[in-house]
Amino acid sequence: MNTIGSRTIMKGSLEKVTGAAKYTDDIKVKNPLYIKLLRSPHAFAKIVSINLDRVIALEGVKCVVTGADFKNTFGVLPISKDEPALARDVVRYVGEPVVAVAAETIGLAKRALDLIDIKYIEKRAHLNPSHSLRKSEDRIHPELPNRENNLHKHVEQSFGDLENGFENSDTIVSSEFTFPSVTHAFTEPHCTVVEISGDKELKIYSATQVPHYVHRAVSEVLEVPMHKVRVIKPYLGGGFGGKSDPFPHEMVAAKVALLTGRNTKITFSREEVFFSHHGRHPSKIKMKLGVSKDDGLKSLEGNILIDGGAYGSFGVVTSYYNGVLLQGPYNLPNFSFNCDRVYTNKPMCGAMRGHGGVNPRFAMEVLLDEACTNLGVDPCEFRLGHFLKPYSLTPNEFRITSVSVNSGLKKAMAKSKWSEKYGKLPFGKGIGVGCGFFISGSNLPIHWNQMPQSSVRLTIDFDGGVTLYSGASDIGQGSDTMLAMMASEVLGLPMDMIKVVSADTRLCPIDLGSYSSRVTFMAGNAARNAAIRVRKILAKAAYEMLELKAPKEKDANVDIDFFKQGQNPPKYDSPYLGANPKIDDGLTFSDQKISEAQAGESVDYIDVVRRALDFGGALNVQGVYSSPKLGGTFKGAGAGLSPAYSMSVFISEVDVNPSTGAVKVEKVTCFHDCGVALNPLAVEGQLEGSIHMGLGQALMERIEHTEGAVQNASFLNYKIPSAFEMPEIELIYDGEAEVEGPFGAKEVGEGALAPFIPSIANAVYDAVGVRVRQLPMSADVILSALREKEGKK
Amino acid sequence: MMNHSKTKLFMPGNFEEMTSTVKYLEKKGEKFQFIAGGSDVVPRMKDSKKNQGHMVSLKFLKKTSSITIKEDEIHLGSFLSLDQIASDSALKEACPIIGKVASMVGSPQIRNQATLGGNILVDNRCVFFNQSVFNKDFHHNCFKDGGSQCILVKGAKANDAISCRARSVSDLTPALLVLDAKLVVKSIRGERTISAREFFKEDGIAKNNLETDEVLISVIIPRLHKSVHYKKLTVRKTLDFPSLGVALAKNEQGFEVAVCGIFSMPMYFNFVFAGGKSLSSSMEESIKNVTSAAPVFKQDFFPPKYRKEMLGVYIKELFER
Repeated sequence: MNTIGSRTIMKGSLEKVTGAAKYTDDIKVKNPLYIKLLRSPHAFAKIVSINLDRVIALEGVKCVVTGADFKNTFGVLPISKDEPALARDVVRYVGEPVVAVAAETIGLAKRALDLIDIKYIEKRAHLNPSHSLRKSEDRIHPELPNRENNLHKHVEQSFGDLENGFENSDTIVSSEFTFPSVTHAFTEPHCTVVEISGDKELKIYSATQVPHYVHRAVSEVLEVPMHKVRVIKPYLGGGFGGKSDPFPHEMVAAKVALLTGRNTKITFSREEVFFSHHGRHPSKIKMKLGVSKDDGLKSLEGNILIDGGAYGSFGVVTSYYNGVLLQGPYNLPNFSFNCDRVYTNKPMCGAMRGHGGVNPRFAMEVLLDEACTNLGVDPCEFRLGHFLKPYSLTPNEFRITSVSVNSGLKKAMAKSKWSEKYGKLPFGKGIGVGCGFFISGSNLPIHWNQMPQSSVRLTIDFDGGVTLYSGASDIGQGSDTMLAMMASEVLGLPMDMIKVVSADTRLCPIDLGSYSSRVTFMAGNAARNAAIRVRKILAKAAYEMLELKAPKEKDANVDIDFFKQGQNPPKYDSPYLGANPKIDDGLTFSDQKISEAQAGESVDYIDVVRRALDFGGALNVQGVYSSPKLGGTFKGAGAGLSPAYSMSVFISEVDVNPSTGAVKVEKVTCFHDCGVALNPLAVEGQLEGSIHMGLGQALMERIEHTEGAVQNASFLNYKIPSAFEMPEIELIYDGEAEVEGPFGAKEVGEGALAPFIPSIANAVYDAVGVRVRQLPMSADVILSALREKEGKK
Repeated sequence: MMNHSKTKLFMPGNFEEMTSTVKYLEKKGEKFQFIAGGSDVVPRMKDSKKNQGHMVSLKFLKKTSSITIKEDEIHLGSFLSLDQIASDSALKEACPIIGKVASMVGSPQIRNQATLGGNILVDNRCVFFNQSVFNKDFHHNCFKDGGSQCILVKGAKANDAISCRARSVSDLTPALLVLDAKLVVKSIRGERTISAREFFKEDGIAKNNLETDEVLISVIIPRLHKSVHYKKLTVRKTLDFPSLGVALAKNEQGFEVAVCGIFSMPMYFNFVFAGGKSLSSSMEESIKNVTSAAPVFKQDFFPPKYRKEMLGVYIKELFER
């Protein structure tokens, strides 16, 4: 291998550290109008009237738009397009955009907001998610049929024989868990810049994870054909799921540009990012787990309530993920869950790193630890015997391919000296374990279609340089680098010969965006496939130049199969190789040379390129990825389906101060099965990032509301951990190659976050003997649990 | 956010120029406030709809702000940055607690900018006052922001003896109280020296005895050779204001303690243990005196009950150091 597996510096790193990188806010367009949003001061109110006379009269104000200017609502999921670009008739949360003012300067736009006179009739806000299940005469979304309450979505699934499983369990543990809302806390606030051409074509620069969804939504909401809209994502300062929906401000900026013919710009303040939110759903989880000492996990039952806030966002998916992501990494024959996602009058929740799987994972891993305590077994040793088997099928018909978690746990146990520590540390010191399971991209697209999930175009011209075109968004995770590595490896070229043009809906083929940990797996496979296709052209030219006969291709149709595999169900008991064509052209592409070993001859890459260009001109190929046909036929069978799953192990060591309750995570040993680590530098970055983010949710992060208003909408008051709080980290990521992943890779961006948090809770139990059933595990929570325990003595 | 385009920054070169600037502004009836490092004043200005007035910079004090260690006193210029105080080796030798506490304030960037004077005079903070204009509009403004209500203490009145419970968050003050520091303030009318123990007021708006035209120019710490310890409760080891700060010095008769972060003023106590009582009952009694000195409100990450409990835990821990 040339590039794969080497510590490869991210493309764009130099630009980022020197400040040369242009983020959306840095994009300069000629003479833009600056847009500011007037936001709702009420959690729930009827808009009686909007008087714009004074603001329109203000010199320098060029356009004012309200909800009446937008006919269509939108939403990331076609089944819940419930969000207006600007509130119409009713406001549903404090901070909801109501009026947009576009003016010649930012200051003027800000001052103009004070001149808008809106009369509201306040309504009784729905703030308690449990109450949202009660009948209401004044619903948040009265347009939704067949319900009398504020339910958004109810999902339920059941597999196996739950009761029988509980009957055959040696211990049954159950509890109720509560989780507050947490947010992504990405560095770059939302920003959109729109450049409009003379013929009213829109070029939209936006801080988005999915240019494709913005493209669709703008077209639908503004009723502009898609070919007149171009969406570009410049450098992006973090997403974590918080930039994967289309947003009101994107609709507004495009609308104002259309109405005025002027370029527009809108940038959020940090406070507005908190209003926009789309973070992790607060939830209440009742969970019951039955465990047999010999057979492992027998039955799991979950009753889950998630607080969606005012609009749908990804909520339907979140509802399913709260249950289905518990189907791994353990064998779990009997499993049932139901989840209610309710509306409340708060900023909406959506997708956030570990989407839907984080809170239920906490509940399950804490209960499993408790069950192990009841059974008197070591929680690591116990887990070892009960992981999913490779190339198997779960009760809910997830196809499991590579599994390395068993050996991974053993390695983590050895590295952390688990056996010397568990149950043996002095009071106040503890060690705990948690395991996780996550998708490598969703098998089903949000907008149902038969297109490949990812397409990557590759061109080579006279200079020999390779350009990859991909719709995938590099949101800081390094997907541009990963794509380039694919081509670099296949073609034996240095990284600086591979340029990536990405996240531009005009120049790049469709990619479904950067979320659900799909990019490396799907866009990576597409890029590799494109590189293999161009290699075939180069191989032919090379053989001609070497005057050698090319070997007969073993499977000439593998390429075609790759295209069509979406239509074919794979076998469940053996690897499915169709996704990952082998390179068997008999040549070696390395160091810009193409050589044939038997004859011992080689030609320069650049000469081969020029030969291949003869008569045809620049080389243009496209590689695609379609996932195999997977899953059952029951309702919701598509939720959580993925071509491959990552699994992880966390062993955390904590110090708990019994007199203050303060928890310090001192050391973390993490095994994450990402298959082959394509770029160890990126893998380590993702794992360390997951640990930082998980630590925040574990110990300190929570959004605080007072009467529906976000009360800590700043980084002083919304506490994300500093470098001081970070533990010592030991990372292990040497899982076996995933047969369907590009060069054997699986996801690493999200899955590691969830199991870290319960490993801390389980370590707290080992340290001081208290079970934590709520987050964050702040010092006051731990202390009151300790007091309660002392009281019981 | 307020439009501050009419706010002017005055940069007097010395005390005389400052007094004439102040005279000029007073004569014109213009509001003004002093600004040193700006780490407290500027965010407040940004989060205010009310005009905070013009800014009169105290940067001229930088020239004369130094650390002077005498036999019986330490003089600290008010414009010393917290970083200068934290990193001065002579001060570390003469009175280690001051540098230590200074190193615990904010973050490195804030300590480079923030001054000693600014930390002593840092505005009291409340979850409803230190908010964006949008949030304050939502709750309707509180007394401290010129409104007609207290959002934190329902039913509080403007003419109550203590109308605002915004909490004092100066990390350095508890140590200065225990050390019996003196504050030298200066205005057009002249110079005066006030005991730090008599400087603060138990109200989140009035805060202290400094007149609007007075400037804190230096701090005098008597060299009493007390061993003072400080402990601070925060969620994170950096950035956060103290949810609770406790400075304590043990002596032969009992101990002196001062606290910040929990009440609407920094409070100082001197406990002399009565003979015949056990140490633990004297401690319990002292802790009870401190925790019941003033009510604690829900205006911090940590709930009031926890902060009160930690006050006792910290006192005991510092006493035993």
